[in-house]
Amino acid sequence: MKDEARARRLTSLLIVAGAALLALLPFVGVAPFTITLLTEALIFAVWAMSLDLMTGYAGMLTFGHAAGFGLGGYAAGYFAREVTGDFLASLLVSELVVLPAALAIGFVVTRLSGAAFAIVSLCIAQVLFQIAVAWRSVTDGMDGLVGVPLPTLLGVTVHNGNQLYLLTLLVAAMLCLGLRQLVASPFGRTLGAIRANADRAAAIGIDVRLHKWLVFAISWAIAGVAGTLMVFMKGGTTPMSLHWIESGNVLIMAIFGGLGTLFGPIIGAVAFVFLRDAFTSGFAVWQLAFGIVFVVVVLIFPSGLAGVVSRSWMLLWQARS
Amino acid sequence: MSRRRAAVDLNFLFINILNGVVYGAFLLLTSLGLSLVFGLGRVVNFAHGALYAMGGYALIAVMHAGGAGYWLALVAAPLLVIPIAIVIERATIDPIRHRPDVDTLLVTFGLSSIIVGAIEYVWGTGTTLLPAPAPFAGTVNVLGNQYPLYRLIAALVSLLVSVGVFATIAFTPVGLRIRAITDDAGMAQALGVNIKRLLTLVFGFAAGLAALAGALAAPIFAIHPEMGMNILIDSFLVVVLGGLGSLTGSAIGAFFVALTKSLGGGYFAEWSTAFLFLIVAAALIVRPTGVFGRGRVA
Amino acid sequence: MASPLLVRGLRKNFGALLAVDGVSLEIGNGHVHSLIGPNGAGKTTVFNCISGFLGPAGGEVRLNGLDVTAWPPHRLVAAGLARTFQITQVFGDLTVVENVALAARSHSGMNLRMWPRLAGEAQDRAYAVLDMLGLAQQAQANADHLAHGDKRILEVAIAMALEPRVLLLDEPTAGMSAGETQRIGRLIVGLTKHCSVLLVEHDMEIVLGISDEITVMTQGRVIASGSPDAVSRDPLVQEAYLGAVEAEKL
Repeated sequence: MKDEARARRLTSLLIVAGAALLALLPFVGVAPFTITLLTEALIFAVWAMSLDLMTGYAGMLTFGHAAGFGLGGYAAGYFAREVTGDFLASLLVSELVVLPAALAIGFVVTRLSGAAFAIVSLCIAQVLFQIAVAWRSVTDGMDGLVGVPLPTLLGVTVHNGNQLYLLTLLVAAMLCLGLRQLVASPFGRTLGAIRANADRAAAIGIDVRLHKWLVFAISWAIAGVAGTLMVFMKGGTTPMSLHWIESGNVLIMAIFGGLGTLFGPIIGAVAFVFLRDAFTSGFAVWQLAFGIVFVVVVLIFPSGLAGVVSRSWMLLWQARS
Repeated sequence: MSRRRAAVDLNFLFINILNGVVYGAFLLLTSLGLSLVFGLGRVVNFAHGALYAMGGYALIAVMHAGGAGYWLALVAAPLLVIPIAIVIERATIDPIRHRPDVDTLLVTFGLSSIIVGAIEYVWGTGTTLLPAPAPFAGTVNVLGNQYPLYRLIAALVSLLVSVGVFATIAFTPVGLRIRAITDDAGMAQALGVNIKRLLTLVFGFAAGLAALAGALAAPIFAIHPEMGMNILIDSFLVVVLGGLGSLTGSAIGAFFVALTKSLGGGYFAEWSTAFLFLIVAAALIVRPTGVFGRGRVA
Repeated sequence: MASPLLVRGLRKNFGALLAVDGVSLEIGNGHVHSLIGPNGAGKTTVFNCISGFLGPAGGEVRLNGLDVTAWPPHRLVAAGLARTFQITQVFGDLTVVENVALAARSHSGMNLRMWPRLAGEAQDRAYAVLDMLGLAQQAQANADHLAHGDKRILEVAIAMALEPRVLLLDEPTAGMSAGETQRIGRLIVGLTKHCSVLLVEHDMEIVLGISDEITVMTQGRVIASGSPDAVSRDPLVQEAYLGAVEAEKL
């Protein structure tokens, strides 16, 4: 038990150290465009971590994780444009929209599991997509929500570039620490039991549905935070943020990085953003490459990149002893 | 004045109903395929929409490259798609059959991306319009309304093929084997049924149905790389409502979904899909084990 | 005083098939009560109905007098009912002690706690349970690597960590050697210090050896119930088993 606590402290320390290192990057001559890519990567990392919580830890595969992301983005963006660009206020409004939606939808949807849950999640996201397209008076339809102002934090305007990067880094690091604590808690361990064998979990007194409902809501809430950050970064959003292609993107980030590891998705998000940037030659090629990587990963590396790393590490370790 | 408005409204309603029936016929073809593949092999084929698109593109490939007429291309398109589907099944789905359902769902998701990406690479991301084929290019008078004849013909072909599928399942030896495996895979294997080969064949057959639907629908709805996505989602809705593995359920579900979309779309525009989802949600509340569930208690 | 477990008129059908047709039984306090019968008699269905994995079509189940009919599994656990599974279902990735600790933690109501906490008490209780069942030596072993017999005992350990008043054992000796069967038989008798036991079993020797009462089922109905002596001499029982044996020979 002492070892556990020590391991946890070590991981938290690593997260803080990693964040500190990343924070230094703008000041050591890293190109502004790279900083922008990193900002996007960090936002995706938050989003991918929230997916990992639901899929990697609780075992609930979803094809509709764009829902919380896009919904949070729209809520925050609309509020920022119409009322105030205060970051904390926008974040609050975003959560005030996403959480009740997640609780209501989750209540119905967590009755399902496996492929059924995955597909119905997709349908939910598509419905939100349709609403975003149809509700022109609020969302401006397919043209998208534009004119979202720069965020302000405690009265100070946060400009694009380094300032937004640091804000995103701060939020991402805090959420990462929080999630680390959550998965190490009894709640996190109960999720693992549910993923391993839901019937068995029920037989030892775990209220499976309640846990699934809670993790659904928490996952959406964090996705909403990512959506809020994104809408400020881009100055707007479109219905495409709710499209199943986006859901597929975040899924591959998490799977490629490694489900159930929390850090894997971070790696996956960074890899995704930089690879996509490299592939600007054509959307078709990107889709093709994306699909091939996806299939290869699922067929050959079911534990993702982190799984490959951890397995190689274990093999090395065993070879030594 | 009001009598004429009522007549116009009735016509509007009638056209929407016809459109719903036409779309329902195509939806039935794709849903049957989806349902068969799941009932047999517990595979949820996310690439089904891409196979539908492949049918549409195979059609225009044969017509433009081969210079063939529509009807010849219509027969050729599924015949081109089926072997590709069989190869896909052997290479990517068969190896992971023993893994949990979600893995095949993920793989087919990736396959969908590959297929759509490949289509976009070859044909670009634009939309292609195809005129209705020669003998049926005109409109016909249905209860006082002019309605495109080809739509009715295409729907008829779909329905006939669907009836053929039902008949095959119900009355032929291979249909019996399929029903046996759908009910109890373990027992079927004990009875010496070569499951693997049957699964591959049925997968190919289902792909053929989807491709046929895509080729039939091509002159009605435009051809573009993402053309299969909407019908894929609708097919999922159909099988959630009607029950994966249940062909009759798919039949009823297909027309229910198609008519709801059509009538809803006519009166509520883009809100109709949201409405459809509410119905699915309500159905799930009433049947909480989920129609996908294999008798497991939630 | 209400009996630990009382089942009255339990009915369950699967479509047209009536698997359980009016089954009743009652467990005495601190007793081992065995439920036996040929294959297909409906024993597992009764079991699943009592333990919340199936919804009965009729009848009632009472735990210490409390009506728990059709309660979901996790509520039954909270009320003092625990079960094992016929096909071993332990959490294979975890060690033996972690498996039991998971149950112990669940029992102490920590499932929803979202902040980390040193799981001291749960671990201690887990070790105590493992000690009681003779598995303490293998506490750190990976659950999947256990011998089959030990895995079955781990199943029991997980259930005992829930501190049940009534323990449901689903064919605990399935796949065990004679020696392992004897061992688990002795363990089960030892458990009656803490709880009452309902046992579904095929192994007649064990059943006759450790049971206080036996209920015999065939084709969804109870045909005999009473002490091992009385039941083994009952002509109906002999015919049911003999008949079943003949049918299997065919």
